[in-house]
Amino acid sequence: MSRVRGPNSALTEFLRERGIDALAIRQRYEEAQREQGEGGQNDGAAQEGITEEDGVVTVSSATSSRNSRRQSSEPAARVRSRVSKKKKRDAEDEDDELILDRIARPKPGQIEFCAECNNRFTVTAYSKPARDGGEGLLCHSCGSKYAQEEKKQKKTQISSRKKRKSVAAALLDKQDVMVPKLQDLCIKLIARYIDDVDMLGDIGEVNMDKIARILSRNRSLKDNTVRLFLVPSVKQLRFWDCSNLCSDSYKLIASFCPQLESLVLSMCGQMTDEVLDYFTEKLEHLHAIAFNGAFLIRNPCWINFFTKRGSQLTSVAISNTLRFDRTALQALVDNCADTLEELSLSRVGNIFAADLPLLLKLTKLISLEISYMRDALTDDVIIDILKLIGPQLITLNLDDCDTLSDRVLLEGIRPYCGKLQNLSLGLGENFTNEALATLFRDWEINNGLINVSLMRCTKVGDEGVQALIEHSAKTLVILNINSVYSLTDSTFHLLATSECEFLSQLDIGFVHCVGDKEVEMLSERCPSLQLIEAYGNIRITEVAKMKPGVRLIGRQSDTI
Amino acid sequence: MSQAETEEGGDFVLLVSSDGYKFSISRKAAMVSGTLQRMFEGAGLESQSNRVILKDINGVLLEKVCEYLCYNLKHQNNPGNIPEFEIPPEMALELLVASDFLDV
Repeated sequence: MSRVRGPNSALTEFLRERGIDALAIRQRYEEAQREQGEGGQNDGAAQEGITEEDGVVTVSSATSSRNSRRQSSEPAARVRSRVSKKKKRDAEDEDDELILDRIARPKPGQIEFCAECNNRFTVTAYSKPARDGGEGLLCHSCGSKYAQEEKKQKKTQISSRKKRKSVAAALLDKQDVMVPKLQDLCIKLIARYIDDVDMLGDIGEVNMDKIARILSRNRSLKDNTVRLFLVPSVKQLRFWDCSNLCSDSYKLIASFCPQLESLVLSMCGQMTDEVLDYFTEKLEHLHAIAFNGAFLIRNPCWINFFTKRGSQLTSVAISNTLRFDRTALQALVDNCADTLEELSLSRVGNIFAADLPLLLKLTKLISLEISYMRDALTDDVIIDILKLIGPQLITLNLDDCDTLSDRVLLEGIRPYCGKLQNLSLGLGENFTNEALATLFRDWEINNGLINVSLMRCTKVGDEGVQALIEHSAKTLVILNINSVYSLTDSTFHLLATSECEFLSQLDIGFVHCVGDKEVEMLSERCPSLQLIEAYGNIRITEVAKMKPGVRLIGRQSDTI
Repeated sequence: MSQAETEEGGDFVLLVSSDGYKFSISRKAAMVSGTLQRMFEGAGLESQSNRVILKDINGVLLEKVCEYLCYNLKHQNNPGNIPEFEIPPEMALELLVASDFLDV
């Protein structure tokens, strides 16, 4: 065989290294076919099993037998002679003989000589190959000598794998790897045995909240477990997964906790009109609600709720419902105008652009979210709203706003939003680079933003983001520029050299220009940095060295 | 009852349970608890006598707490790969209250 080879793939190279090649596989197949023909039908199945086993062994022992091939030691010669005898075929060329050498392993049931003590023994499927690359197999007693050692090796292997896994899992949870707190251990245990708990007792509101959160995550917040949290004195309840609660359980919340001031119910699909009416009647101190997915509640019920309790509400968040439309919004606006400071509408499908001017009555708002409602957003409405409440607004979230154009930035946000701290313009695919740059350049009425998301603003590039950094470097804490594809490394040089002393979270997922060098520089230069999310950044590898305290998650090399 | 090992000599503190059981554990282990640390490092009586009376924690519970303090101290430097800390389920709620108090 000629030694000259053309270029080939990594897979071909790997297979060759392992001694696997098409020729050998074909020969093995032919051999099996032939033997099957000789042996007749009676033991066909058994033979097949053995050949398969043969194939597996070949791969694992190929490397060890490769060394010995050259030495052509006595057992090797024996194996070879036996193989060729068995085959009863003419010797082919030398190379083929060597390949056969490699794939040949005595079949279970055969008599073999131990490679170490030279005693006769019967080969079984469990016979171990000789140590240190020697040829042949070990007898049972020699093989078991090493069993202990192998077990130990396996154990350390498993434990190191476990360790890697736990580190990777903690990374994904955005936590440091540390000894778990005794409280958390207890909470986990309680959550596991929650069905046996009669009363939680005086464990503190923080711990209650933690347990409720874990139960929600395990989807085990049910009619019987929810009662544990309904303590008469409680003022704040947060249930993140109410999908397993029937409408009677919702009512229990109001009847057990009359002091409730703030109520968060997520995925409350079984909450009915009757329930909200009951809340309206019983919860006299309620001033903050967040209902996610309360899609059974109809307009008249919302109207009743806002009419009776509207004058005390300071924060309302409604998301994922189609049964909240103009009339309900009208009631909200009419009744809450004097108190409402925070309004969040997200994925409320029956609110349209024509309805949004109603919000102009809400003059006290300091936080406004209208997200994932692209049908409702138009430049003119948003600019009108910002004209009115912009000067006091602290939080503005307009995610999924690709119906908005640069006018909102230049005629709405820039002239009016002086106090703005949190700005989220995710998926704003129509905002241009120049407009964003103009917004931030010399924006003197604003003292700096704290939390900014420009996620998937795909037309934005270096100029806009650099203007943002220059404007807000001293105040930025969280920056999300996920999928702002056209950024180049000059932006990250600027970010690293701008003395962002408070910047603690950075999402740079899918920003392809970021590599090891850039993240190392950022971790070095930003003293408060704690978390970098880098999903989809293939240029960030395991080599990147992070300062202790900085977590980098989403690297491909971190996968379990 | 339960005693932790320290590297050189013994710098131990004494924790006394509500029913009078005394647990002598290394100062280092006790410092795992934020509450105990503030007690022993503050200017109060505890820091002079090296002894804390925990009126709300009974002996059985305190033994478990001490066990955890030592467990935490032992594995602090190698947190990736540690054995599970065993808690009897019936003790979990009381232990949660105690650990909430002790800030561990």
